[in-house]
Amino acid sequence: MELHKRTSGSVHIIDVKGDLDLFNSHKLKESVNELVASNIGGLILNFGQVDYIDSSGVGVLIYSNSLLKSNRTFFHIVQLHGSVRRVIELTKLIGFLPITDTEDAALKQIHGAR
Amino acid sequence: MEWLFFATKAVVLALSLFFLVSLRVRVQVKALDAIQFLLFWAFARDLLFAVFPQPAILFIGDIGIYAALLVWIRRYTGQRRSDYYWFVAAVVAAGVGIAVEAQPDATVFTVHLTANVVLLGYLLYSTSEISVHNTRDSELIVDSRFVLSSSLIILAAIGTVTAYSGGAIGHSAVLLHYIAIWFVLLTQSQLHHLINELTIASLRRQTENLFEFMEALGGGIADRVDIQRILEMICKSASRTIEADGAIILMVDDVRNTLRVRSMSGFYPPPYAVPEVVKHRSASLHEYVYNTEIPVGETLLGQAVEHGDAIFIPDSTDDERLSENTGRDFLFVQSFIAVPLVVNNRVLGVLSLVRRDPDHQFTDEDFQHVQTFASHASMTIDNFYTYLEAIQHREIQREVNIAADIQGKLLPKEFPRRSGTEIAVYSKSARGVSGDYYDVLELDEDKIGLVVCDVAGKGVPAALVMVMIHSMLRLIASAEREVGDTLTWINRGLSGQIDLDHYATMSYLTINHKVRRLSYSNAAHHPLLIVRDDSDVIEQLDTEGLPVGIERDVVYPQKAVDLHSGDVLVLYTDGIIEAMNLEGEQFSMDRLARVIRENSNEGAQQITDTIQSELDEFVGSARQHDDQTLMVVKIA
Repeated sequence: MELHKRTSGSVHIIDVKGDLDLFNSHKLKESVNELVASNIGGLILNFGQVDYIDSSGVGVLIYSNSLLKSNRTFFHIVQLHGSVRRVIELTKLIGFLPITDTEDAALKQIHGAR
Repeated sequence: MEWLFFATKAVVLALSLFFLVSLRVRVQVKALDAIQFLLFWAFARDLLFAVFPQPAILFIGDIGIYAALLVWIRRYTGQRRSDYYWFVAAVVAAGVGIAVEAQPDATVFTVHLTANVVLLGYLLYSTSEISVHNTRDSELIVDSRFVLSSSLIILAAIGTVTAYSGGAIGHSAVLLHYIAIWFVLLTQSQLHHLINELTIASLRRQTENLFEFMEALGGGIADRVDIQRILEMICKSASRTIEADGAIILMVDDVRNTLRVRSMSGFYPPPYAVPEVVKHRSASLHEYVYNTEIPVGETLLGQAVEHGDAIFIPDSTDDERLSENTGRDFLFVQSFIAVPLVVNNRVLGVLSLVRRDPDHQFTDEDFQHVQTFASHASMTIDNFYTYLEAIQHREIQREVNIAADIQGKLLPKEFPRRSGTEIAVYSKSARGVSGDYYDVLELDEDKIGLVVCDVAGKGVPAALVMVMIHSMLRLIASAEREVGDTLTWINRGLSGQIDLDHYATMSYLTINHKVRRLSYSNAAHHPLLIVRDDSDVIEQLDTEGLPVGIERDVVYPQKAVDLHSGDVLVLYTDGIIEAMNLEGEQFSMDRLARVIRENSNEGAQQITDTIQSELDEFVGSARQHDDQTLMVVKIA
């Protein structure tokens, strides 16, 4: 798994690439922690290049959501697809996690809310 | 006779030219231009005098030689304001020299004497002023100034006394010029020979350094040194290898998209503006540079990282990119190198080196050396990261094994059979420990409780979640308590107790044998499958609700259905229906349903065994990534 970071204004975007599983999901968690510590305007996780996620990965999403919520920071997960989306659906987390179709829509929501 | 003198001079001149040219080919010396001009000037003067034996030619020729020498000296010391007056005086002297040619000898003598005392005096004074303390590379002038000065004094004296009329004495004296120039060139060539020797020695040292560095790195890895020490080693070795005055390594901070200083050695004036307050104390400058974060793309260092291309500025003079580091500034940098540390197209950081000595710029070779060095260093850093990852991987695996022990103690060894209801379980872990948990509780004489659970993650935290679910079930679950309430309470107990990223999907159901009634509640687990004795249709039972451990305030609803003798209940985890064969095909819900339907008349254990063998046959030798748990209940 690889993480690539970008920004759009004060909103930070992490492009996640590859499989998110037990052995690497802690890296995403650490990155989210670091970003949140540095006072960001919003966080978008782009899952366009993720084809597999296990429960540890889902755990990190739940964790990120709770962390950013308690921090009152905008958080969106975008471009969920295929088996990754199905895992989230099966776990009944679709309504719980802030899932948005595209990055543009997420950015629009963040900027519109300000 | 005069032609003989001229021929002698021509030979000397030819030799001088040959020497000069060969020297120029070997070394580029900026100060040599003036000497070369001196030779041509002397040659032209003597040629002219041989044709037109006018004393003024020799006189003006000498003034020209003084001028050339003054220019040469100023190449080292820099211009002086008084030089301007000197050149004016020289032009005036030359003019007067021509004008007084027809005048009486005494007047001519006075003019020549005055001109020589003033012009040569100034030149000699300027030469004598030079020392290693006020002039760079003064060695050449210091070494040759005695010979030069004395030959010039002799020449001037003879010229003045003989009224620059040439003749035997005058001509012999002129030869002195060439000897003096010879001497200067000789000294210079020796100097450059020495520099060459030093260069060769330094090249040898560079190679040795590189080997030393590689060895040290090998040892470093074996000793389990941390990344910080490796970076410091790289920084120092690179600096030593190309004899830089200062070196720095900045690493990319992926999260903030900035560069942070990780190691610094020597004196490194940064290629960006520094507040005056910290500029002049090297300790505070060091601290300032160390704590300055550079956004990727900004400053020369940030640019090297953004584009992944090395930057080489051998000469900072007039280079706008180093405008903060020019002139007499404390941050002065003569040569600058910044090489990105790249592995597999990923820029890890940047290594930058500077040299401050204006006459000792980085060469193309130095630059190449640093590039080789940087690519080696990048690989080392990358290897180190991989190594760390492997260690981490091992630690996780170790934790997973501990968790397996805990889990082994939690899972029920046998199931109650008093009621006649048959329960069978098949459970297989994918990597040593399962994230799946199942349990069977005897709530009272007529009622049993069944749980199948898929805990997120593995390892000790996941095992702890299991332990908590295990304990809470025994505390909370009772024959009287509704299944929905039981899940609600378990969720409340788990939420906030465990790390935010640990959760579990969970199905809980109770079966009352006496009245043949089932109550079911689900926390985002796969729905319960029911195959009726008299039907081939598989019913799916599900209720709303998030996994447990995420949101404290979730209230779990429940559903109740009547059961009949011969009904089959099936609970399972992801690993069963997502089991994959080598073609990447999943076992799927359809296959599971088919096997259940075809075998629904069998006992629970038989159904379980059949599903297991079908599953084994389906996946073949494909390695499974998820735990598989299947619980089958046959109602008596």
